Amino acid sequence: MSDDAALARWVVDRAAIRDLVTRYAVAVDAKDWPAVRACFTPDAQCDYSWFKGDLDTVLDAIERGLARFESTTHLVGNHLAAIDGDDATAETYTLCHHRFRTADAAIDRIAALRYLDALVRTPDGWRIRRRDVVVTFERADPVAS
Amino acid sequence: MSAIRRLADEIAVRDVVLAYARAVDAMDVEAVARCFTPDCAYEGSLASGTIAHALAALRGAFARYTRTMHFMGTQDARVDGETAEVLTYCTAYHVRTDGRLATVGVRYRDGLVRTPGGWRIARRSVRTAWSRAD
Repeated sequence: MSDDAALARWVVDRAAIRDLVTRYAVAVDAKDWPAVRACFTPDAQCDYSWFKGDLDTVLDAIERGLARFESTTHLVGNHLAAIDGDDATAETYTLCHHRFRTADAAIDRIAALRYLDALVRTPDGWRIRRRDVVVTFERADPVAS
Repeated sequence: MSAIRRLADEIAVRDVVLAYARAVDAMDVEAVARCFTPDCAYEGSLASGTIAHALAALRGAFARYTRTMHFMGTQDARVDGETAEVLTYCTAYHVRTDGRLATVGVRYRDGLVRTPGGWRIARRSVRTAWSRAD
């Protein structure tokens, strides 16, 4: 029985961490900045490869960086998490499509990356306290529109 | 078996396939090997035989690419006691040493077994559904 209880806690934690990482991707595509901020602890530190710093610095860079795109799609794939009490680490593969328009073409800019997160259990649920972004590749393709 | 045990096993089984992707994308052959039983049957583009043949071929494959990303989506996992079956869809991005991108649509059919060290892939069949080079 105690084994089942421990397994149940692990399953619930895994689901909660997956939800959190998914919620970030949905919120950033919706440009819902308060919802993006809610994924992190207030003292979170992030290194997004293109920019890094404390939460205010990074959220400001994300908001300004994404402003020029007609739409973005953060497609979440592989997700692994390891839980150790009230701490956890997670790795999440994401394909980020950024659509923008030049004078004569629509462009699909793709960044394929991995989010490496350190998370902490707070009274309000799991939150990201450190995020590192590792970019696998970037490319930009003109697309028919 | 309790519902929670089954659910935990399903997550653990999916994790093994995702750990394979992480290991292969880290170009870490030893970490790849840890996802499989030592005598795992392997049938796919890398080799036809056992995982040992595939691991040997993998070292050569790593030399052709600067980076890879085995992006996995659909996973159909079925656990039956001490064994499990998982079908995984993967879009595998390969950044070649010449800078070009080779993309392959892959389907992994894995048979897993529960071992004292956790779930391991004991049988793998890899099928290429499509590919493109850009």
